Amino acid sequence: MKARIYIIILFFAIIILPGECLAANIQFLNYSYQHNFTYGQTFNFTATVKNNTASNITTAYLVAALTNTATGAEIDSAASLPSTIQNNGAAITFVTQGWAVLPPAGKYTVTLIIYGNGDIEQGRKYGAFPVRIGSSSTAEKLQAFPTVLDFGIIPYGRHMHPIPLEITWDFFLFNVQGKQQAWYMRIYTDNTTRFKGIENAVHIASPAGLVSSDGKYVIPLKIWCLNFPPDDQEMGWDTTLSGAPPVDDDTYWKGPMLDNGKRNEDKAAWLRIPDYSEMTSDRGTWRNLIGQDITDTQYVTDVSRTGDFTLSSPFSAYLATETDPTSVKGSYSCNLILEIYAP
Amino acid sequence: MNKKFIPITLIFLALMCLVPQLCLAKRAIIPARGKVNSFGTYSFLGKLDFDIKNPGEQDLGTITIEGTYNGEYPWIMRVYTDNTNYTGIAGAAMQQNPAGLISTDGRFSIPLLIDAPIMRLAGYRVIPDINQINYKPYMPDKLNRAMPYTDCIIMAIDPRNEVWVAGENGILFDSDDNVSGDMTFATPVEIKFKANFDEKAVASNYTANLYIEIVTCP
Amino acid sequence: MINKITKSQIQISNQSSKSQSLNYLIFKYSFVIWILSFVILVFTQPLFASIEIDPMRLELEADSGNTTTGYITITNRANETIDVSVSPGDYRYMFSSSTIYPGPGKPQSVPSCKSWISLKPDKLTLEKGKTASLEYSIKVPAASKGEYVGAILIDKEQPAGELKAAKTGQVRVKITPRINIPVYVAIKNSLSRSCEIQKLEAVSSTNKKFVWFSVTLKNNGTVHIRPAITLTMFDENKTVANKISMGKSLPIFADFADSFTANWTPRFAGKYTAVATVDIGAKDFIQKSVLFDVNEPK
Repeated sequence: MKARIYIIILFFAIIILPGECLAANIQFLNYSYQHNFTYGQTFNFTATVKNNTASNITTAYLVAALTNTATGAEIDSAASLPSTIQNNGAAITFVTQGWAVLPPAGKYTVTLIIYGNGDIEQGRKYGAFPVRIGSSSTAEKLQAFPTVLDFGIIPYGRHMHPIPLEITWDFFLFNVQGKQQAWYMRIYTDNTTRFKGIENAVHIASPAGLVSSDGKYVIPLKIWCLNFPPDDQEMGWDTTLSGAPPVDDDTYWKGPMLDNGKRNEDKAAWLRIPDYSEMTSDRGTWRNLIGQDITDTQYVTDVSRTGDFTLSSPFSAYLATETDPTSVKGSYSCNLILEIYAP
Repeated sequence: MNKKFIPITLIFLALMCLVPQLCLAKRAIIPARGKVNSFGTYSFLGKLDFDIKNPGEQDLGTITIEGTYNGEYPWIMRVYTDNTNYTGIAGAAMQQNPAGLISTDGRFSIPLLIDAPIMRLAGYRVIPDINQINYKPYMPDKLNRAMPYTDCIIMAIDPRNEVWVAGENGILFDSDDNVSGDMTFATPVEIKFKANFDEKAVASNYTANLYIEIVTCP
Repeated sequence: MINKITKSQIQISNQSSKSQSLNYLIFKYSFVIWILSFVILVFTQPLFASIEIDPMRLELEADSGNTTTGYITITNRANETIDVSVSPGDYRYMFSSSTIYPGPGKPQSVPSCKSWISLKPDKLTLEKGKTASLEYSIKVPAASKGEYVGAILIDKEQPAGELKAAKTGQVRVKITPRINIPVYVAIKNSLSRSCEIQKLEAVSSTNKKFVWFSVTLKNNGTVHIRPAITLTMFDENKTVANKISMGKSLPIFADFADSFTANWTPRFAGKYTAVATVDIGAKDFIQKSVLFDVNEPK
């Protein structure tokens, strides 16, 4: 009796194994599809397969199943023209034939499935890259709420402004080959005309932050969003559960301590908002909140092969200040520029 | 401009808007504002009341500085005496210094020394008197040339002062730099006083009018 | 397989809806969070001590032969009642090594108005948390012209210990915290604010890749100025290569001059023009330009 139970458990375990292993009748030699489309554009998928079994697979056809990463909804393409996959190992190429219903705008994972021998699944392959279907350019938007940030009376020491900047965005950019173009949402101040500084100061102070009404002094601003550290595996602060990390802890404000007594500033959670005058063509000088760049190894991972570090809209960004005796009494202001920029 | 080009231009512009790769930037401008109130000024706790029991160098006591000050900078906090009761010794060959502790008859003075965190390794400094000859007000130091000022400074903010900006390692334009020349210290902070009651210290009682002055930004 | 996809779809949508619900909760209760943070701030503020003075600087214009009055407010932020005394004082200069004094035969300092200043009351007792106003009067003598400087000294009285009778070897130091606020009195009938750019230099360093700029400004008016100087560099094509703010100056008094310096590291070699623009708060700006070359580094 016990042996039967074990066999049944083993059987179901095998059933739950990835489909590619189960249905080893078909071997996918390669596949291709464009990654980015504008909504309303029709598009197809191509796959080349060969038959690993002893008998032919008749009336075989290819279907591409797209799964919306946000909603989980699945939509199938129209099938390719049927064909027989010979058992002699010859490669055969299938091309899907458009869509009965075009998939709406969104980001989709791709599953290519070969059916045959009477609509039985013969094999499947998961696409390495998602398909992104963007809305038209007239639907693109970038909005921030509140429209005016009033910090009120800025207290002494470090302080996180309790009301976050809520950013609503919709942006989509690809080139003529359907490949994703890099774009970034960045934030900065533009204080070159209003900031003056102190005469003959040894260092020319950075104009980034809130500038005093007489233009002599500046209070730097720091920002945090979900794309920034800490990583809860490394630093023990789960940002999805606990929100923005505390400003009073130097680990998150300045960076974790290294063995040599210095701080690893690259791992600081709260990051300084630069001024436009400090930004160059080097992306390292920008303060990026979200974006996508397939060429930037900082964001390209096994999980996100397209270097996609966007956050679903709307997302929140928190701002913080630190005052000390150099924060001279008075009124301060600046313009924060939130920009989607494609280099 | 020829009228027949207008619709062509409009169509071209509309097409440009539709082609995704020509949409390069979208922008939202968020005005931000805030206000910083005064953080008050510094206060000084403690007394310098001391009875001399033994000859030699004596610690007179400590003063604790509390609070903070966020007025416009550059500003300095300096310490000096204003010993209007000093007369010196009649007929002396050289003019004597009214700085420090003054005997009750006004004839004798003992230098008063101060040590504050700003002095770092230099240690105790003599507190000057505001009425002494050739009293020179503060000027920001250069790294290769200390400025000849008399002011005894115990706290300050001056981004023009190279020595303060260079930080503890004394090298400019490295990661150690104190960009705003902020020589304030997290309070409470203690400043110490001492004096040397050697054989020249005449048996008497000694007093001083000590001022700890914030010279605000001019 | 289809079950696994559905499960992961549910996980994805749960995470995103969890994130959205977190955002919603934060947004919904942001006002409560704001109030709570304010309360926490009040009780965790460092204890700021002593007195607060407003204004911290007096820049006045007065008529010769007349008296100008005004008020200074003093607030007691200490936890106790304090005694304050006020008195006129001498102006404390804060020159730097870049200050250029007037030529020979001209006064090397600004005349003092210490004796013109009177304060009422000159002693006051302030309870904890209270604010008091004290009135200053500046009696300008007839036939005064130009500008005069002084200071108002605000002392917090702290008595020293008493000396015991018939005993020697006692040391008693009276410690007085003092705040010095500068006073500037410009006489209206001779008031003129103007300056000239005496010199504008641009020197390219041969071994280091930067250009050193120096702007020398002379005050040829009758009252002090606080100029703000901006340096703009144009390349051969008249495009702006860089813009440097040289800062807002401390007061430059009449007949005094000051030099301001800045460095710039250009990206490309070539011929450039540097334009110094000076703003002294008057209607027009003052400008001067200089040409300089940046050579390829050796």
